[in-house]
Amino acid sequence: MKACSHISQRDPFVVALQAAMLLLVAQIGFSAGGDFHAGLNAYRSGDCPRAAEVWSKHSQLQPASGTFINLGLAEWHLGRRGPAVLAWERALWVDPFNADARENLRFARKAAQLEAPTLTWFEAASLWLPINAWALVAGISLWAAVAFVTLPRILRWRRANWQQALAAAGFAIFLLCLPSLYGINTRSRLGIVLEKETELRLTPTRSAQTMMLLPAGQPARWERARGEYLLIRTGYGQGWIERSQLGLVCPK
Amino acid sequence: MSAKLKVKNSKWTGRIALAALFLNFTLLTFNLDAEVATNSTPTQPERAPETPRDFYNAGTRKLQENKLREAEAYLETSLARQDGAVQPAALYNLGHVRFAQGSELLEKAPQSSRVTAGAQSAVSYGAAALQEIETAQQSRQLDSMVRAYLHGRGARKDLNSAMKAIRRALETYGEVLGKWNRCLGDFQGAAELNLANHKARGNADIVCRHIAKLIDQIRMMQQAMMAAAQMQQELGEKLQQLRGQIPDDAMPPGAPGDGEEEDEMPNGLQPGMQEGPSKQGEEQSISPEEAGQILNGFRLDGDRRLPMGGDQPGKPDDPNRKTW
Repeated sequence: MKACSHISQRDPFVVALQAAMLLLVAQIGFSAGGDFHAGLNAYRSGDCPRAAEVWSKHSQLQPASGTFINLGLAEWHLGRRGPAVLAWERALWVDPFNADARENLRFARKAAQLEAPTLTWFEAASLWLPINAWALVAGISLWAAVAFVTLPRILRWRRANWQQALAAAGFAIFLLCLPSLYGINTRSRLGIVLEKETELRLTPTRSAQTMMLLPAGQPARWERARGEYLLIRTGYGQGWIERSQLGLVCPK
Repeated sequence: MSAKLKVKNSKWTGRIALAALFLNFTLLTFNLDAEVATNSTPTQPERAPETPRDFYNAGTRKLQENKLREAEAYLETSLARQDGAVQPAALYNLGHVRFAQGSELLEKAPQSSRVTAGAQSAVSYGAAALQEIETAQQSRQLDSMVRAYLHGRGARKDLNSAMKAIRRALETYGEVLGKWNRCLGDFQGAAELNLANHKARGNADIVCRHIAKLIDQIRMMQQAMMAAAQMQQELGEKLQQLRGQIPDDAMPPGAPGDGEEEDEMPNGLQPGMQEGPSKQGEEQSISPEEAGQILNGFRLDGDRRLPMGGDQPGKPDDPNRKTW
C-alpha cells in the first residue's frame, strides 16, 4: 500500500528532475543531429576544416559509422591521412559491414602506399558481427544455457531432451563467441599513426635514438605504456612513440 | 683535458668490488672505471647471446675489449629487445661506446688548428698574389702581368688544396659530432630511465662540454673555409680580368681553360714558361735527363706481357709417385 501510494503521489522534485533529464537528452540529440547537418553543410560548401571539427565533436557525442566516414573524408581532403584512416577504421569498428568505410580504406591505403593491419584469425572472426552483437549473442546464449539447466529443477518441470539440447546449444554458441570476444579485446589495441614522419624511438626517452620514420596512417599495435610514450609494434618493427602520435581505433 | 667517466656495472649479482679492482682501463683521455662483469667466466666457451641480458653482457664485454663496433651492435640489440630492466644500463654503456667511437675518429682526423692555419696561410698568400695582379694591371707590363698571372694561379691552387683539407676535416668532425650527440642522448636517456643514475647525468655534462669545444673548432674551420672561398673567388675574377689583358700569344698554356688548375696544363709547363714560386721552400732545378730517368722509373707495366712457357709443352708430374 505504501508503495502504491508512493507511486501514485509522485514527488514533484523527482518529476521535475526527470523532465529536466529528458529535456537534456533531447537537447543533446537535437544538437548532435544539428551538428551533423552543420558539418554536412560546411563540407558541401568546401569548408573542410569546419566540417572536420564539427564531425569530430559529433563523433565523440554519438559515435556512428556515417559520422566517422564523413569525418574521414573531410580529413582526407585536408591532407591529414592519419586522422582520415583512423576515422574510417573507427567506422569499421562501429559497423564492420560498412562497405563505404572499407572501400575508402582500400583506396587510401593504395594511394598512400600504406599497410593494412594484420589480423589474427580470432580478430578476423570478430569482424563477422558488430561488437555489441557479439556481446549480446554471448550473453543470451550463456544465460539461456544456464536457464535451461537450472530452471527445470527450480520450477520442478519434467526433464526433457529439448531442454538439454537447448542448454548444450547455448553453451556451444557461448564458447564459439569467446574467441571473437578475445579478438575484439586484442583489436582494441590497434591504433593508427596520426602524424607523418613520426619517429619510432629505440627507448622511451626524450633524446632517444630514432630507428625509423613512420608514415601517417600506418597501423600499429600498442603493447605497453611508459610515461608519455607507448611501445608499439608495426610491420617495420617495435619501438616507442609519443602518446599523442597514436590514435586508437577504439578510444578508451 | 682529462675527465672521468664511470661505466655502469653490468653484473646482476655480486663481484662488483673485485671487478672494480681489476678492470680499470683508459680510452684516450678518459679513464673508464669499468666494473663490468658477465654471467660467463672467460674460460667458458662464448655462447651466442639470446636474451636482452645476454646481449647486454656481450656488448659490455666487447666494450672492455675495445671492440666498439661490435659492442654497439650488441647493446643496440639489447635495447631493441625492450627489456625495461636492462635498458637503462645498456643505454649507459652505449653512451660510452659512442663517445669512444667519436674520440677514435677525432684522433685520426687532422688537427683543426693545423688545417685552419694552413687555410689562413693560403689566404694570405692569395692576398699577396691579388696585390701583385693589381700592381701588374696598373703597370701594364706584359712580363709582370704574366708573372702575376702565374703567381695567382699558384695561390689559387694552394687555396683549393687548403679548402679540400678543411672539407675533409669538417666531414670527420661532423661524424664525431654526430657520435657525441648520440652519446649525449644515450647518457641523458639513461638518466631519464633511472633517476638515481647520477653518473649518467655527470657524463652527459662532460660530453656537453666536449661537444661545445668541438663546435668551436668546427666554426673556426668553417670561417677559415669561407675566407679561403672568398679569396679564391676574388682571385678567380682578377685572373679572368688579367687574361683579357694578356695577348693570346703571350698567354701561358692552359690559360683559356682556366677553370681548374690540374686540367689546365696536362703536359706540364711548356718550354719558356715558368710556374709561380711556391709558398715556402725553393724549387729544385732538374735537368731533362734526370727528369727522364725519374719518369722511366715510374713507368707503368701496361704494355708488358707475361712470359710464355717456352716452345715445349710442360710435362705433368708423375701422378703415381708418393704424396708427402
